[in-house]
Amino acid sequence: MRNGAILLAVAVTALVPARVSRAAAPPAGVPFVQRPNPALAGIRLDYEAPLQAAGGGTASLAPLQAGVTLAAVRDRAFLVYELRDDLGGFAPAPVGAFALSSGGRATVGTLDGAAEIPLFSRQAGGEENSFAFAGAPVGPSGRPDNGKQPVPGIGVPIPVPTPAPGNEPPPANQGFGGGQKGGGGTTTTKRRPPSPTPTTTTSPPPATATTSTTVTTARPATAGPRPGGGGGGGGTTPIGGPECGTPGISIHSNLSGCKIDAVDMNPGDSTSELVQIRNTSSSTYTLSLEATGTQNHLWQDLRMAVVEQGTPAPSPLPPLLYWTTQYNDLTTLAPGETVTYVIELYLPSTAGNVDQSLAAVIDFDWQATG
Amino acid sequence: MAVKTRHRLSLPRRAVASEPWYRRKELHLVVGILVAFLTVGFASQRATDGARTALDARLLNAGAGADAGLVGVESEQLSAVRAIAFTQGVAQALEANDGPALNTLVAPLHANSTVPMVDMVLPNGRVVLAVRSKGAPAPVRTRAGLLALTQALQRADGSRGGRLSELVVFRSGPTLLTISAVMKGTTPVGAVLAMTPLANVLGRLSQEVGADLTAYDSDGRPVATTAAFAPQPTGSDTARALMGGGATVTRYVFADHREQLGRLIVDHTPNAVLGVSLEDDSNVTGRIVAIYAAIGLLCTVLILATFWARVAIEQRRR
Repeated sequence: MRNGAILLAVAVTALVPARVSRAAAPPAGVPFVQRPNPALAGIRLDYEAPLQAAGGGTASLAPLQAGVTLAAVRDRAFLVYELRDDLGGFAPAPVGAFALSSGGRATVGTLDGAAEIPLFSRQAGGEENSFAFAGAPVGPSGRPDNGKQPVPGIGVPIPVPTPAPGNEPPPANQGFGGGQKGGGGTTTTKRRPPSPTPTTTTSPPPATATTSTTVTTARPATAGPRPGGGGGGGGTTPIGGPECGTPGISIHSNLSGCKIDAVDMNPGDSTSELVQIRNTSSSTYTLSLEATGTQNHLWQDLRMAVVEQGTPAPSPLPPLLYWTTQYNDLTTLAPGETVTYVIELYLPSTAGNVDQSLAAVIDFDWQATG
Repeated sequence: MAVKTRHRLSLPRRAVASEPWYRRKELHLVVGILVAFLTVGFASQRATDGARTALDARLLNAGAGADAGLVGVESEQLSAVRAIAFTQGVAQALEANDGPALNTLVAPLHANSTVPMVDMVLPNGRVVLAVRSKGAPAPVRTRAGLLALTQALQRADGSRGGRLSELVVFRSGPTLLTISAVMKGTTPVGAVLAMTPLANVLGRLSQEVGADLTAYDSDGRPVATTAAFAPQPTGSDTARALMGGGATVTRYVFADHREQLGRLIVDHTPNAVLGVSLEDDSNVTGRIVAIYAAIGLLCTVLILATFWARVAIEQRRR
């Protein structure tokens, strides 16, 4: 019902009005409203990168002072709900409860077990307790608690699937929406449109950009990489695609015409583009990005992330509309410096039939501000 | 007068007897009442369905929000294990099996994090140091045989540095575990475990998404919940279908509590079935709409009847 096949045409063109800074300014009389920068708003779950040292390489932290324990405990106590209005009037706050840990209960297992290691030290009035043998361990080693032992109320637990060894890109809302490996989601029926309509789009010609035509190609409704397919790889291997920048900003894409074409996209499908940007000017500038184009309902449903290659995509991916409200700073590039971005477009599986047969032509305006 | 009255009364009877069946007053009355009942019933059912659809959409969004929120908890635990694993002296103290020295280094880091439980373990699983926030489950002596420990040590030289997260059901209950190998040079000398009881995680997420959350194992048995009632098992077939990537399932988990079942994703892997539930009051909405519709119809009938009576009386007077 909800997930009829959606004819989606997306064309993304790199357009470069270099050194333009007017776009972020609102029209006169309109107050400026801060909006989230989608490049920074999401949580990037990174299992791969070690702690980075300031000068490069892996950091090694100096131990914290012991006084941090008391400070942390006091700060935590301060975070406890103190007023019934601490939830902003939307609901009465449970005074005395801690927002980060209260409210649930286990229905299996038992908390009756005594500590099998002697208490070594108590800090902050017993809020923090350390258990260790001061010397060699004494007494029987006891039964290991390793997730394979019988647990009251459940017996021997069933082991969970092993996570992948690499930095799997996070699919948006995989548990309740996005496609799961091998399918899934909440789809009930899928209907293909009568015939894939070839869509020809022409990007609006900005001042210094190239105008191009998109000839779309249909792809099977069930095909498509997992959402959040960005990330991985790394390094600055040159992309041998076409040049679509202007003097000062060199842009290469792994796709012909610097465009993403996605046709017949189904809810849960995603597509991506690799874009390599090089500062060919003689000064350092801040690179920012805005998505523009004629919006329709499809824009409201699409999600988009722009992440540096080798960096996991945020989860969930930010809405495409986040990119349309302002220029969003991505990075600062020194002369000669190169950065490679993965642009990820994802249509959530919750997209409805209202998006059917809609097309979105998304222009990317890259801005360099010195 | 009485005779006249009787005579006048007998006229309509004869007229009725001669009318075709579809002009009988009784039929009109029955059809009118039937239409009124159907109208009230349809309005009630439509209101019920609308309220239920809105509830289902809210449950789906809450489930997606809970999975997204879990990423934040994972991220906090990862931050804690990285801070410990990359602190100077930790690897040396762990290798030396020196609990007191480890405590000096690890306890402040633990206090500075939001993670309630941290274990420092040797490759053989022996716990050298356990740090607990007040109220957290008591420490155990050994984690020997813990699958995550084996994986962390095996993958210590991989791109992840042996870091991973998963759900483990310990004797104290289900626990969200994040582990990292502790390296001395290129050799793993042990691991650090950051753990939060799943019940606490669900409690936190429940406040964020505004719905009750329940986690079920892959046999469909509830293992942790924020609901005040005792959730019914989902059945192993349903649970395994969901874990395998099946579409979300809707059911009533207890009385009027409607539940959407999806997956609890940890480290991009389905680790459990996640149930999101709220009380379904759509029947109340339907009843109220039925009452309003019935009152509206009755009032309409009364107004029309009054109008008809006035017209009839005026015609009779003429």
